[in-house]
Amino acid sequence: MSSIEWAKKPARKISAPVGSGVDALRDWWAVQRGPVRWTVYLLLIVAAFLLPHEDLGTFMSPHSDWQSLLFYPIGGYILLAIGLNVVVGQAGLLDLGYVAFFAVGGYTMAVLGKQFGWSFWEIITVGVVLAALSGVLLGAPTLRLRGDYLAIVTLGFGEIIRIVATNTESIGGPNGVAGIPHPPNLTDWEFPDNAFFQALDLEGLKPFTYGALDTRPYYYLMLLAIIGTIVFAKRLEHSRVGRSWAAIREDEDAAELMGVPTFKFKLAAFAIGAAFGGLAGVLYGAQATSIIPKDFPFILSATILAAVVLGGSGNIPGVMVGAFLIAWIPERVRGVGEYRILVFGAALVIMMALRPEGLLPSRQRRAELKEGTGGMGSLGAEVGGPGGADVEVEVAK
Amino acid sequence: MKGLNKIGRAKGDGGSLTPRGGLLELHQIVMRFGGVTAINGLDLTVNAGEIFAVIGPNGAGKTTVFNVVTGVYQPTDGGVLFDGRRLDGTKRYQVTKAGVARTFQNIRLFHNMSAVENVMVGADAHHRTGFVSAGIGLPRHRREEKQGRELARELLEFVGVSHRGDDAAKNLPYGDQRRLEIARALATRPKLLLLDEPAAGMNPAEKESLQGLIRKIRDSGVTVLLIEHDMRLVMGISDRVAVLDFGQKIAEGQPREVQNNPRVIEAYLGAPADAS
Repeated sequence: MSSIEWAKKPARKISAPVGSGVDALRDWWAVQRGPVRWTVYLLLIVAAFLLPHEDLGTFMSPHSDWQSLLFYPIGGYILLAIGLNVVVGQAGLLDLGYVAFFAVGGYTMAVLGKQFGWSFWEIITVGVVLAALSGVLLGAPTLRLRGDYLAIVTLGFGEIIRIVATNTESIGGPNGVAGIPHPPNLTDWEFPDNAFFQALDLEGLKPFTYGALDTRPYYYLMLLAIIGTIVFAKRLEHSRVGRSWAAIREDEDAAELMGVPTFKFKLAAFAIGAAFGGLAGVLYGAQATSIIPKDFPFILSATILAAVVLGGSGNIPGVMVGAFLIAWIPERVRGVGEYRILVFGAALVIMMALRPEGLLPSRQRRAELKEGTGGMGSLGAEVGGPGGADVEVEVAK
Repeated sequence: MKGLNKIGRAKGDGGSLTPRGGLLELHQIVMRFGGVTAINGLDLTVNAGEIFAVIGPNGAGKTTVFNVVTGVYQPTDGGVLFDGRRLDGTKRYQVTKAGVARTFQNIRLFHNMSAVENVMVGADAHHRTGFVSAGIGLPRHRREEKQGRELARELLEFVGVSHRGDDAAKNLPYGDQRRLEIARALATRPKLLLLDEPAAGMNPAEKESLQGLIRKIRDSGVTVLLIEHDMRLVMGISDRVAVLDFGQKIAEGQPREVQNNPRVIEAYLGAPADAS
């Protein structure tokens, strides 16, 4: 007890200014109009485009290839975290089997591409739709459960998908699928080799040629997917759908009595989150050329959830920062060999001690976590809204 | 059996109940929880355009009546007719869509959302934007969003908390939270508004202005069914009053009649001393 109090004090000293800085930035952003916002968006996109620069790589990841890291795990984790954030951060449903949808996307790419000879551009739609359907398939029977019970069922679902893949010979069993075709090239156009592009480290890059050697074209594909999902998720957040999710998170019974079809909206959250996961899976499969069931372990679900919680669930920039750190830190400290996971763990503990509500939480989410609502099962203390005696949950339907 | 009922009700017919011409009709409602009978054979008719109060001692089953009407509980026996349609067996959000809105005895706002957003959730009950049209930003989504926001501002004005529109609901004073709940319920465009102890915790001045608000709601064309312990308020605004005791209706009529009914006095004060 006293040692906790002792530890809190210096932590507050560091975290409080960080928090007020973030809040100031948020307030500034909230009053900005279109032109300023679009300029910032554009700058961010340009920055993301130039990110694979080799000079940056020597600092960011001296021990592994920066450009392939950017595609996966960094880009992949960010896309997955944005998807899981829809389920956990916005709808407040704790999903511990999110990797299942990543696997569905990956296997769709592998099986349709290798065994049926479909092109990547065709598969990407099918993969997303199949993943969304599997989200509905999981959600329809289980979304009547709340909090911890839902978490347990989703955990089981994640394992079922992996085990079924391991035991199904027609999709390669434990050996998975190898020789997945790369996406067909859109054009062989390349950046001209002059001093300007040399400075940006873009000379000779063919951004629409998908080969085995250069991962940058895949990274740009991932970037496009991330931008698309951000736009989609952000619009949802500021719509009837996002408002309904927030209401469900705060008081599900009251929401339903105010006319929110709670089940339908929770199912939609599962389907949308799953679709984003499936998209990440298709992209991953197309670049990796081979996938095995072991690429989709439970620990990946937990890692992505950690990224969402660490970054600040409910806030898209937050979960992106969280996903970036989770993907990047273990690679950055590769130099210390086997101790890298220890360093990674220590970094997570320190970050959560300093900012228990996440690095960049949404304001509403932060307030909910403080008062213990928000429907994250044990993560957000007890579910169920304030009051309670007024309207009781129906036990049997 | 249950499935058959649902199909019959989905069509919106009156089932086997005989309509009595009221907006809301409870027909021989029985509600049991295990061995406890909370409501026992209750008949109630609320006519369109009136303010109807349900009173009774604590534990008489008043809130249970609200929960049966709004679909929180399925009655053990009997049926609910609303606007000529069978309401029991309908999902809760569909009850709201059909035109029944309510507030809660313990305030149940979405505490961390702003007052405007709270009301907009209610307004969304009649919106049709799905996640696809919202996600890609179709015109309908923008239009509904604008309408919802305007309706929310209007209703906040109507109940008198428009100056706190952008504050989180939990930061509003208690009386304003009760008014915000009413605004949220009105946003679902109800024909019938159920108010569960709207004056609880209010001071006399607030109660006075609440009376005015309830009359204003009735005059705008919304029928009001109200549970309240404050007798001055009940007697002041109700057109008719029903008294519940141990899940049964012991009296019904104009406020004056009910007030002087010996059974009502007995239920509230116990039997007269000389009777024992």
